[in-house]
Amino acid sequence: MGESPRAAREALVESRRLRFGTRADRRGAWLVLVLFGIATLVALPLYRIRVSCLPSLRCTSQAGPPAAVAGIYVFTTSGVLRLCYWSVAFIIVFSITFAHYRRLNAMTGVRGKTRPMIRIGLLLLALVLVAGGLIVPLGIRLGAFGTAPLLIIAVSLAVLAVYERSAGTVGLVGGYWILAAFSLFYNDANELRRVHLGGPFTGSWSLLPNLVVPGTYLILTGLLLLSSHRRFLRPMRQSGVSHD
Amino acid sequence: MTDAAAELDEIVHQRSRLGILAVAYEVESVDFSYLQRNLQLTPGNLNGHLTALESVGLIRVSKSFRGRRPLTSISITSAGRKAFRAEIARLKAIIARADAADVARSSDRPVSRATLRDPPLRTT
Repeated sequence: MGESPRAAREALVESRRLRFGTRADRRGAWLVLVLFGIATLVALPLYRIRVSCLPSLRCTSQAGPPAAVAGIYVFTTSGVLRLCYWSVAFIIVFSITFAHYRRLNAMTGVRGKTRPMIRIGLLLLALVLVAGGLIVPLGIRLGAFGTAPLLIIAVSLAVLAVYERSAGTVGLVGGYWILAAFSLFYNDANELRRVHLGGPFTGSWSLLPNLVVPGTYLILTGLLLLSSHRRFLRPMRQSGVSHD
Repeated sequence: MTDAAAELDEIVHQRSRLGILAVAYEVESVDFSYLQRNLQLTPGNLNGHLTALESVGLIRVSKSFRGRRPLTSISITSAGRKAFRAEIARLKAIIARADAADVARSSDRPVSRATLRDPPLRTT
């Protein structure tokens, strides 16, 4: 077929432009990030640790941090409340996400895939509920006591980022993965205190950084995505695409 | 190339149809109005292209209602994905061949003294 290189180049450029424009039009991950960020921060009071001393055991200090020394302190946090909270929070976030993408579809006319993210998120949530209290290697406690919901968020967002095919979203979600991993290690046994990285967050609010850092990160990156998305769409809409 | 492959190639080769496939390639489904707006085609023209693509199984067209408004959604089939990728590869090959020919031509051309003194800036 005798197509000129110039015509081929034009067809390729136009096709790329259409693909980028379409991808941009179906993107809506910013809201999901913000919602998960809010859900993480709202969970904060549920992560307050009440440290009490069992009468039968010797307690060396009064308001001690959740020590890594086993057997001295017991934690009395409401794991059931946490599980209930996260179950409801995930269902709400996924429902809003679904509605948000439906609305986006009605507004723009393009429909992306959100079901895989919701399916994987709910599956992981069910797994965590089933495995509540299970301690996996490295001392990470799933379910009632740990910060496993952050891992569910990380996996769900990774699936969403892959389906949105946005390098920016993938990068930001990658950053969240690092924070989620950090939070899992900075667990209720406060592992990082052993290497003197515990900082001022000891005692009842020892889990504060686990939630505040990733939660704030999600909200900020969500807003960043929104603003960059708007900046990107403006010139796309102004330039338009012409076909003969 | 078989007759069927040649026919498929001819269908995808058309600019507007390639545009339809490019958009549909990126999403689960796309509305008729979105394609019309972005490809700047008349409804009749777009309909013709969609019929051509649907007849060879490159896209699926489904009709439904959103509220009271009729809604036509277009989604790409796996054959459509394959055909689109093949067309993009073909276009890239044409460009690569032309670029290679340009390089070969420029290396055969005798270099003038003026060019040696002031080499031209490459603008790509």
